[in-house]
Amino acid sequence: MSRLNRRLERAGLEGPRVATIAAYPSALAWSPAGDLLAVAGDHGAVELIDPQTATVRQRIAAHAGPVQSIAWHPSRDALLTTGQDGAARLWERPFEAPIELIAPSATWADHACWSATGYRAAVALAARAHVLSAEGTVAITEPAGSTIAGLAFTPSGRTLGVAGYGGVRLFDPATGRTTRKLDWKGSMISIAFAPEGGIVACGCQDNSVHFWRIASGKDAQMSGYPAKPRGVAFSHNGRWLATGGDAAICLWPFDKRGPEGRAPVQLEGHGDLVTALAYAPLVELLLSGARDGTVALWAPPKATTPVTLSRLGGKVTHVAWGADGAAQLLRWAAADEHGRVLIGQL
Amino acid sequence: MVGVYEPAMTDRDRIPVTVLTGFLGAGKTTLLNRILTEHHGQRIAVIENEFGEIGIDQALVIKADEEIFEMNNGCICCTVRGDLIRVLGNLVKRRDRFDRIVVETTGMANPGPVAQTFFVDEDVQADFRLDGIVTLVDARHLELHLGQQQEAHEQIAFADVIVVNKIDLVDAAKLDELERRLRGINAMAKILAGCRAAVPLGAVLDVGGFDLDRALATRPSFLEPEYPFEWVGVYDLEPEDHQLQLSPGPDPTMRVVIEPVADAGSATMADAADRVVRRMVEPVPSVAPGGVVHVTGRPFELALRGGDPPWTFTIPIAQAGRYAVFTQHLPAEFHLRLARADGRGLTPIGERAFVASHTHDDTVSSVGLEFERPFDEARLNAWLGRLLRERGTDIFRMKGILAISGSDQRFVFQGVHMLLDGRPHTAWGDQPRRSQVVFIGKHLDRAALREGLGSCLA
Repeated sequence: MSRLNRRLERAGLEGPRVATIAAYPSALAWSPAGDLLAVAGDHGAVELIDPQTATVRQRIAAHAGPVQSIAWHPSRDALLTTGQDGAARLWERPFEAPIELIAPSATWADHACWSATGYRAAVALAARAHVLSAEGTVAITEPAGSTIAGLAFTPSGRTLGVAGYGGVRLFDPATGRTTRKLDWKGSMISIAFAPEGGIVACGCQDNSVHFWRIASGKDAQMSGYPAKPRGVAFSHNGRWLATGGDAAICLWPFDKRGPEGRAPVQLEGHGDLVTALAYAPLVELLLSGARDGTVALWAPPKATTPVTLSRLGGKVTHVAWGADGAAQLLRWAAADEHGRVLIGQL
Repeated sequence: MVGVYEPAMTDRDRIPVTVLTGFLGAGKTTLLNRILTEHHGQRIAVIENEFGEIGIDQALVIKADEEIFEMNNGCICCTVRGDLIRVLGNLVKRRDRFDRIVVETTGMANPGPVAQTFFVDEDVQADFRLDGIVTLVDARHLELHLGQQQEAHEQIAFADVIVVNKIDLVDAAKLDELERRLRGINAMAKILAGCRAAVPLGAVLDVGGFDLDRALATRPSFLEPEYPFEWVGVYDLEPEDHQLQLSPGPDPTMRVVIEPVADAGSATMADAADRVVRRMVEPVPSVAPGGVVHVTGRPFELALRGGDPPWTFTIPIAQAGRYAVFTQHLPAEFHLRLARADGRGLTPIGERAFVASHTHDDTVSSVGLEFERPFDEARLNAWLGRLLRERGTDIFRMKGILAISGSDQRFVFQGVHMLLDGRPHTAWGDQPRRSQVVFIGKHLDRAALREGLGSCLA
């Protein structure tokens, strides 16, 4: 922790770098080695940015029409992209010719994610998810109740969770069959599994956060947010759930006792609604961005004010953490609506 | 849930959205293609329903399956179009590539959830403004649809503009009847008629139907009917004193105008109507029961009080001939009767109503109310809150300009179901402080609404 503290102090001194893309960013993700930052935009391209120089090293003309989502394979230099052209493509280094996973169609290919091992990837097309495996098999899930608003694998990779109107559905990724319905009369807009996989949490359209303990099916709700809590993220150890939906970030305790009947820790520093947040891998560090263009780095729960606070010009659309194992660095990035990307390291 | 929203003051920065509704075959696609091809200097993105078939190659056409999201408390005001939230959220990223958005709904869609999406979702509200709901109706099939489908009533009730399409396939009398029926359902909408959806695009694309500023700027008195009278009857009259008899009706006064006309043809009646409209702005002498109404082509206001009804007024006729009698309200509402000197009743040889016909049993209707005294703010808030809680499901749209006791400013509001958007507006100045409120909805009880609002007067 002392080394982390030293790094945090240094982070305050070394100003982050800024890169710019000529588009509204639609996704942000670090390569598994932390040496490339991929920024996708509504211009149909994915820009690969070198974090050392904050310059665009390569531009992938990924889709005809806006890119909806990008996801790096967890251990290989392979980037999964989806677009409003309905296509899902896999770009392997040197990112020149893609493998066409899903052919273009009138239905947007939207959210995309990998399982923790990278054995499977899932892509949302309207109300169904297409699950592709490393062996080349494809399973299409039964339709969820509505268009998919978010999807994620459980940490074990044995279950795919899909959020949408009416709650969360769990699917067997091998067959696409529904294994569980976690019903809630409301529209889920995001999804996150706790690291042990026992809990799934969602931001809801009606300004609340809903979560289920999957084994028992018991659910609970945190309400009273002034806005939609789009961002929900568990800390690496699963002890905390960070939520947006306000200018202050709420950290709900998810230790053994759970958040029921307990007050959240509030992190204050942004001047307006938090629009993006992400917990770091391996350490209890949180990165967040807000509508007022501020980007904050936090070391909660002890410190409830930002370790560093930077400023981008416009509304922050995405934040992301990366880990550069070789350089023993944590990298982070935040993008704003004007295509400015702030890149820092710890 | 009653929400009062402070709208963003930067309406100009928000992207206008036009919602196009109408039954299958009413001409939505025709109008959409016209909007996209006609030169108007605007770049338009279209969100088309799953059955939509835009015939031209346009860069920004997005298909969306209509997904109705009901939020957890299940109240109708929390029913929104989930797909619109998602698609608009994606479109906002490309806002530099288009100037406006047109949303085409499926034929059977209820426009309520579409409209509410713009009230309820904060992200949508931040970047988009609902400019207007345009409803296309097929002149031939309107009656059939109204007879069979609740959605047809809803689409008309929610509209800011109603385009009566395919008018070449019906005759003038039928069209007149359709217009009256549409008015009966929705007294606020602008009604346009055309063939092949040939209506001025300015009248459908820049409506400001949900814009509080516009409610005042373009229609300072949006309650006022197109004509200041609801009915005209043409009678053959002899040179003698005729009797005009009225029983108690919905108003304590009734304006009438009597003038000679050549015949009872619709063109003559329309000409006479245009002349009379201009004269209606002149000062109006009041006539007490037993008084005389002269054939001058100028309005008289009949005071319907005192003595025992029916009240009788005398109309002296100097010359035999045809005369048009214009009445402010429908004669049936006052059991109006025109009789000769000997008491024999007369039947008009021709007549035309200019408004709202309630002859059909449409459960959806409009109620427009006016009040001369200012409202007590606290009582009005309480009453309106209760009304929307209890009747919000049945109230589709409402608009109002209110005089509030103790305030020099107009208070303007508009709403959809239980969602209200209102704020103080311009000062009254020297203008008479006349409050006006319109409700459009199902099973509206005019008397109860008048009484309820009346109880909130200061």
